Amino acid sequence: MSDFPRWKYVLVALVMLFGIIYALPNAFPPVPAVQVPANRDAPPISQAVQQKVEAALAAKKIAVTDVFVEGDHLLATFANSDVQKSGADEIKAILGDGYTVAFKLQSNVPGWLSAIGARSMPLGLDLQGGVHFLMQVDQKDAIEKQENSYADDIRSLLRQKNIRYESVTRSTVSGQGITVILRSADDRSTASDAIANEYTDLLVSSGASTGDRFVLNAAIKPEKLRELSRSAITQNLGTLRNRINALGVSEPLIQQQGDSRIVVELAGVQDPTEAKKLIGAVATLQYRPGIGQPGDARAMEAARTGNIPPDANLYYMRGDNRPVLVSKQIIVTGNQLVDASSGIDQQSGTPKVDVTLNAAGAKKMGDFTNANVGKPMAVLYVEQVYETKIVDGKEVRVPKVTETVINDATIQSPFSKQFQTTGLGSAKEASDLALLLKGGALAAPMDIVEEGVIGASLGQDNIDKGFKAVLLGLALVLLAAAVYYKLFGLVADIALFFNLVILVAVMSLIGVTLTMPGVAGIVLTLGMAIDANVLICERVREELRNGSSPHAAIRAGYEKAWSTILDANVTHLIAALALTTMGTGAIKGFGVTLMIGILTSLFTSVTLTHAFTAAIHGHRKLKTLSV
Amino acid sequence: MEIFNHDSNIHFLGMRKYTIAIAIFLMVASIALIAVKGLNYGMQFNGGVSMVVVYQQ
Repeated sequence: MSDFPRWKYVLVALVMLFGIIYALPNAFPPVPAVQVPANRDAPPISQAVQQKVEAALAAKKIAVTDVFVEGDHLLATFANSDVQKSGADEIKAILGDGYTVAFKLQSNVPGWLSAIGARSMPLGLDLQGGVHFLMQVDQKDAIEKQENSYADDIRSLLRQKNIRYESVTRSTVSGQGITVILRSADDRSTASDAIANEYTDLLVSSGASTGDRFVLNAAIKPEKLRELSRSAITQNLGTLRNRINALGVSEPLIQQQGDSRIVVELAGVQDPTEAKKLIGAVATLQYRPGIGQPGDARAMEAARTGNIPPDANLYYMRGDNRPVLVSKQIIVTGNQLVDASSGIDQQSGTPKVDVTLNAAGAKKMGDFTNANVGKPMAVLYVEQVYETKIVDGKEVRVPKVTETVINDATIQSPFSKQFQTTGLGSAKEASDLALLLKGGALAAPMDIVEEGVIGASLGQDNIDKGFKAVLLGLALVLLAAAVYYKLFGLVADIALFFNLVILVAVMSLIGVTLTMPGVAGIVLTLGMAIDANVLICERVREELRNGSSPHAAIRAGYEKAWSTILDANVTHLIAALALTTMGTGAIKGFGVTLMIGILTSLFTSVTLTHAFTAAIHGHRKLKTLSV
Repeated sequence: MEIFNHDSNIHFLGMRKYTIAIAIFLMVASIALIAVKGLNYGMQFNGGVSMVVVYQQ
């Protein structure tokens, strides 16, 4: 009789059910859609906007499946991506600048499935089409900037303390710090103490001295260096996010990869030039005296009539678009800013941003604030994007400058080198402001080291081919197993099919993005999963030849093949683990699929087939086995 | 159905002189080929531009 415990039957049944339910959402492919949220100054999305869009699409005879309002945005779904594109153009034309029109893939999964957390696998760029950039952040440059500013500061510190020096220069080797050359050993020890006291991030040490040249080395501490490289990446990630949001791509992927690289993936975008323009924008900062408060009567008046005082410019606040008048005089520019970081003000408990200026900036700031306590000061963020236009048949690069005021605060007391902006609304607002300040002043330059465009039709082609490859691989393996091992082969076939289902279910559940290498991993897993069944079946055959009874042969087959199967799968798993942890991009996708596949196949090809063979053979007296 | 006869009795060790010779030859030849000719690195290793173009029929 069967010695297969009942709880294992239940487990197998439950896992099969789980697999079917959670793999099911993938049977409902998402439909191409256009998502339209309102910008801040435009009237919110309403029935009126919906009717306007419907009428416009009907007038142009663009077949739209559905137009509806969902939350704060409008969604229009289309039958295919060609119609989606012409539909998006039409909606953009009819609604104008107040609305952002973004491409989106709208999920088509029935409500009850979404309710239990089942969702379909998101498709990678290679299956969906889109653009992909890999950017290298030049962290050395950020460190060099910091060293240069320390060198400036040390010079002014030495002058202030009346210490005579020969030179203060940044060492030519990056990351090696600043070399100070002094005239006497006494000067050197006083200078060393002064620098170490003033700048706690510097590590001061005496170098070899020759004749009357006394060398002092000031290197940035390793922790500070690490923090600098880390913040170079976070700043660039933040700036990129801000800029790409302006592009109106739904669900952009902006991710750090390794120590110094950033991956940007924009699904659905077909023109890389537009994205590249934004990514390559140059941002600068200006501190300027403010005139009045943002949104006050004078500013509103100027915005309405266009009568702007001759010594001022009219700008808009970033975020809420209130007009603000700002003087044309520039106090300090972004390259005089050394650091900006957000935190919590100890006195008032409100979020704040700490700003540090270099020596030159500090002097100008000190002069200005001494004379202007109680008056406002604005921070202007200038972003320059180069656009290529065709003028008289020639390509001309035209800079397009966007200037927004990111902060306008009242000067409470005179300050120079270090100051803080308090009274910010939230911790998020403070960290955003710090990021913008740094992004405009200190961001390390980025280079695009890899870029790729995958056309939407190529993506569809890849899906079709991948699907065919999975089916063909599956069919051939199923056929071979059934012919060679008869009934045991058929059981293995069932297990293999469920392996595919459970693999897809697990991948969907943990949200693995399906890419071409992932599809390759699935096909490979299917081919390898049958391996365990081959081992079991051969073992059963051998036991039968040696004269065991059918039931004993099955039991011995599973027991003795298990250790071999486990060994093979563990080594396989180690390789997959290496791919997953060390690999990037495509290789990682392959490794993840392989790893999940090995684990699911271990279950299906041993436990699941054992349950089936036990259920088939368990209650009968057997003379032979069909193996 | 069985592809390989389970009663087959091939005297593998009897051919060891030849098989070891073949194995050593293959190992030496592989190492020599990799050392002399090297590997043909793909674009991911060398850098470059790759384009997939669809022609309208």
